[in-house]
Amino acid sequence: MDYEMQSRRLAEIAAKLLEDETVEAVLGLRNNPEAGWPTPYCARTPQDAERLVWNEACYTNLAFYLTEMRGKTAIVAKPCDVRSIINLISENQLDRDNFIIIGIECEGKRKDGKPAPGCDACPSSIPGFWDIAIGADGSDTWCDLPMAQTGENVTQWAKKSTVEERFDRFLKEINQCILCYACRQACQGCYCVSCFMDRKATPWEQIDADTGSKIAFHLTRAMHLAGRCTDCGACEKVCSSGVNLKYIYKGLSEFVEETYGFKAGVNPEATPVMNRYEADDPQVAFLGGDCIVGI
Amino acid sequence: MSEQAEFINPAPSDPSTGASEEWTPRIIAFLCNWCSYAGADLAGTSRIQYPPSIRVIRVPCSGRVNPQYIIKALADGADGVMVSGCHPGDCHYLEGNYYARRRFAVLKRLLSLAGFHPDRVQFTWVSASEGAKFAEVVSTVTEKIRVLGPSELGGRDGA
Ligand code: SF4
Ligand code: SF4
Ligand code: SF4
Repeated sequence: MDYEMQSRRLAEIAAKLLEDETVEAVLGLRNNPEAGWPTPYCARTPQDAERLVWNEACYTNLAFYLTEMRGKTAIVAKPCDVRSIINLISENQLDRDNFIIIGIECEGKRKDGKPAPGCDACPSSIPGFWDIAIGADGSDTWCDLPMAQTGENVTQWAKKSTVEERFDRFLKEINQCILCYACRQACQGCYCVSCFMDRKATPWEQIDADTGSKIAFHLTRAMHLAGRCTDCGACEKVCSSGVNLKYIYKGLSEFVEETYGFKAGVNPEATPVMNRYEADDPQVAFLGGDCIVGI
Repeated sequence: MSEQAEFINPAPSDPSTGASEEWTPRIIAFLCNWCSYAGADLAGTSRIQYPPSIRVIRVPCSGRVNPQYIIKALADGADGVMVSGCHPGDCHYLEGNYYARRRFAVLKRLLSLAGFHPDRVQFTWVSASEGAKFAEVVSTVTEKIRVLGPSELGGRDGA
């Protein structure tokens, strides 16, 4: 991994795209001493391009910001950003003609001296698709680095554990939650104009800071992310309370892949898995049916 | 009592009152208007006996059952949730129950992962002509939930 070469090449490419007016803006990250880690930045002039950075702390998923850009944009995207972009295209949130992907090779980011959440399970150092490539050595070819792939297999864990152990793990996590919704704000899939948690129209939807509300929030969000989570880890990275619930989303992704053969963030043409059905879908959840669902 | 306190001390303080013979779980039943609700009606008019455990909420279609309703019911301390709709192929709106089938499969796995006993949530198909089956389904579901005992989350309303 040669961050210096990658950064230099990134600045060159960005400056060129802006100079030629191929794009109006380059969406990337810049150093932010106040925050302590690089934060999203929109370069609009060739001079701005100098400020774009690329280092081991650049773990922010930028895909969601792309949905808010007007005019043609180039986005600096590592593999998890591209998976998220693919998911957003398949959900009609992005128009492929409106942006350029500067794909950038990544062997995993680090946060607080440890591998960043999500990076342990990342399948490849190469983005799923791209228009301009920046390889690990700063050239325009991919190096295809070996990935750690040490992420837990949630289904295997769940099958070995008891229902009480699973409840304890879930409770331990959500008990730390302060319902700040940062995880939702950071998530590429959570783009709803009006999230269910912000709708307080009926008495039964009122939110208190109690365990019941936390369960309702996290489980409903997990349900909304089923077959859409791209395992980017943004939700864990932003949580100031250290809540780690990505295993739940990952467990659901594993289930969806195993049962319906669908993986989020792979094919931009695919219809999202929960938006369709097959007449012969397995009766897995049903009374008297073949219950592979309840572990 | 605060929710938190209820949570740490689940409802029955005396374990013998937990999954006892007399205890009847409170089950929220979402029934689709066109099949299962009519099936329940038929069970009633045919005077078929079944346990008084379900609290019925009539919905237009099993596809109308937002997973949030089920999660909310459990989070608020229901002992179980049952959803019943038309058999695949018989949906009044043609395909609502097919979407529901996927959703429920995923929801059930989700609840399992989070440590809710999978038997607390039950999905079935009951048609308008299956009064006897409806009664049988309620009995089976009630028994499955009865052996689990009261919800770990405790009832909020105490009813
Ligand atoms: S970011 Fe953390 S504390 Fe905030 S709502 Fe999400 S899990 Fe809870
Ligand atoms: S749920 Fe978390 S890991 Fe999944 S897409 Fe959203 S932010 Fe990324
Ligand atoms: S939690 Fe659900 S409703 Fe809220 S923003 Fe995310 S997907 Fe939308």
